[in-house]
Amino acid sequence: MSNQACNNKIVLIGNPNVGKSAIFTALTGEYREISNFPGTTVKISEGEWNASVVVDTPGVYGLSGMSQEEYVIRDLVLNASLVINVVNAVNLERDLFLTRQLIDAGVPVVVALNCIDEAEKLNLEIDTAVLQESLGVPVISTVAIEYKEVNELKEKLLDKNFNLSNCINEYINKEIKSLMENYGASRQEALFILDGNKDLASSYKINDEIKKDTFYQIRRNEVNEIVNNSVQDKKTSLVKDPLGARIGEWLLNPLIGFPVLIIVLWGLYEIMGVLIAQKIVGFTEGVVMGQYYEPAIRTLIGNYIDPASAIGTLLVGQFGVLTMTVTYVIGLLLPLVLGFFLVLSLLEDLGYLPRMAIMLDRATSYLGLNGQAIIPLVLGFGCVTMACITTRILESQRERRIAIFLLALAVPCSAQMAFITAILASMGPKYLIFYIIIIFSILLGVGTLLGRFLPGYTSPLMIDLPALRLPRVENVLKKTWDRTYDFLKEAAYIFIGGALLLSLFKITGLLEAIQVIMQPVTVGWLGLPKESANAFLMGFIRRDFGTAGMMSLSMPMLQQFVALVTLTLFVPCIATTMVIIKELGWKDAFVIWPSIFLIAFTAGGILNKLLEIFQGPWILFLMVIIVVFTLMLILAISRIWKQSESYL
Amino acid sequence: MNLDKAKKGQVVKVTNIDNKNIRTKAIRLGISEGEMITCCQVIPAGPVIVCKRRQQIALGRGLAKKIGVEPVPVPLRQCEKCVLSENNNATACK
Repeated sequence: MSNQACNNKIVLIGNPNVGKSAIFTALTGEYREISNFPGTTVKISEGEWNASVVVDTPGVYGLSGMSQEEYVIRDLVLNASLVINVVNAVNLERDLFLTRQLIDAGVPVVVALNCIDEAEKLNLEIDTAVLQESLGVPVISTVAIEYKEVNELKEKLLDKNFNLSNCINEYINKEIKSLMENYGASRQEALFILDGNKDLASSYKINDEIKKDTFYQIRRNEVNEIVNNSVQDKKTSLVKDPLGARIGEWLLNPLIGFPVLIIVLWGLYEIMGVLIAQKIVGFTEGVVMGQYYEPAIRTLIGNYIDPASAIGTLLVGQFGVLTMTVTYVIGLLLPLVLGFFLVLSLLEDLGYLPRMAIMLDRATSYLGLNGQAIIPLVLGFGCVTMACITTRILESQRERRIAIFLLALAVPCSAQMAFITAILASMGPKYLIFYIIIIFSILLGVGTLLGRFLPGYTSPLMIDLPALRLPRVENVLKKTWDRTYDFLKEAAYIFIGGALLLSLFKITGLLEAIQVIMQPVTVGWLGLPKESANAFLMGFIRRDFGTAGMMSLSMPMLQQFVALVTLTLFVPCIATTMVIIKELGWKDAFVIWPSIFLIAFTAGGILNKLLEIFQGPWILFLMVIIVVFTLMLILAISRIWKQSESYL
Repeated sequence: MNLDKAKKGQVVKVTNIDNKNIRTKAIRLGISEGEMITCCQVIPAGPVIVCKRRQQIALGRGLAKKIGVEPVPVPLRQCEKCVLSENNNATACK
């Protein structure tokens, strides 16, 4: 980034779902780079327009530092030469709250009144002139989703004369002034102190209680007045809402919403678990890679290097970089991850995810989580690592701990699921159902215990619902591809590293040694062949890698089942572990990791012992009863020791 | 009464939000004391969804219990959607 560009920085900011990225694309044409903000994992995209750096930011409701993102964006805003505040014409009451905050902060603001077409469809009439006058900053209507109608905005940006608004509430101004005079804070600092920033307040040794809610209420009244003056709702009982809005209503109706939810979840399973994980992967991994690629590469390499030599083993051996790694990454991960992100991006752009959260809020409350936690939990079926990052949308540390623990323990990622479904498919539906019951019970049991006994609070569900929209194909495809690419790029390195490590272990004989050391656990406790230590070792590197290793061992069905359950619960992969350390810190990671290890081997061992004791045709039935009974016991105990409900 | 007791289609006025943190968060989204909102959907034992103009906000059941409201006398017909006019009187029921 050149110095000159630094001097001219345009920051796009707005609430979630207002079309910031659409305006960004319309302005800059392309994402120049998408990067994590230094020191955080807040995604910030940068582009270029007319020799200015344009920065796109994640959606926030304010700059008060209620989340890490708000802090990051606040700093970006304070250093910007111009802020484009994107607001949704349909939700002005919500969006202008942030606008007022920006204006009060004393940064040059241009308001892009987006989705003006949607407002028209809903018979909302917005008087831009009144809006402009009462805000004291330029207001420009845009329809950014069409990537046009931003010309007016561009012209305005070229204008370059941005006066600061002088429409600032008297009370707020007075409070800011008094903080500036009494404590020597700068104007912006004073504003953020009023906004409830405790760090700033204590650095100025301000002990008086800051009446943040009074301050907010004043701003709210101000915004309501502006909206009342500038927006007219022309809707009459005769006019029907557009179809999208009506479908949105229907989806919230429990009679329609719940069946739809079940259909969506079932559809997800059909697409991910059956179509992609079995049929497509069966072809790409089994036929393309297994029958054509691997023999070909073995022959090719065999012409130059002896496959039995050390280098040969590294390249084309059992864990070869050119054989196993390539097969896993291209034959297996690529179709799975691509499929998952496609479905997810679709649901996301459709606006369905928050509706899912509402429908499941009650269910997740048993786990000490609010409905929003369903988003990382579902994401976990794609990639647990990424899902752990997504737990940021959860407000309290406690919720994040619970969600990450459950993700790391009992949610198999898409790659692992491919192997699981493949193994289970060969065992028959009885085992599939049993497997689901066991894993689900453990998820529920552990979640309930965590929800009851982990200290802290669970923030209640409070989300605003975006309108249902028809997703734009190119947008969905682009998102899908970007995410898949990011994921595979990272996974490929870990796979290559893991494969090399395993081959080295094998060459040096370390693998044998580990197998012997682990024998008491693998053979004695879990009743598995000693080679299964390989699979666990692989599981350290990646969970799916471990499950794949299990597939290559031949053992009786019941043993395979024990191994499958243990490996599903087994420790998270290296990437996830690193994210856990990053998100929750070393201390938490050191508790989470061994706990999962223990739970996995305890559950696997008990399963094995039970299988040894009860043999015969009723075995599965008996086991289900035992599992369900244990779960009920946990739930009952938790009920008795129920913590008093506490919010914040 | 509290918001969790509101019926679908009912228009209520928010009287108090006890918790300070919840209050500031709610104000940001547009729900503040004295404001008129419509209860537009209730998920059984689950969240309450309130509407204010065109905006819909879902509030968890436990949260709704902590928001004091008083019903606004509007003829409670079978109206799906009550649109609030500018002077905050509920009108235009279907």
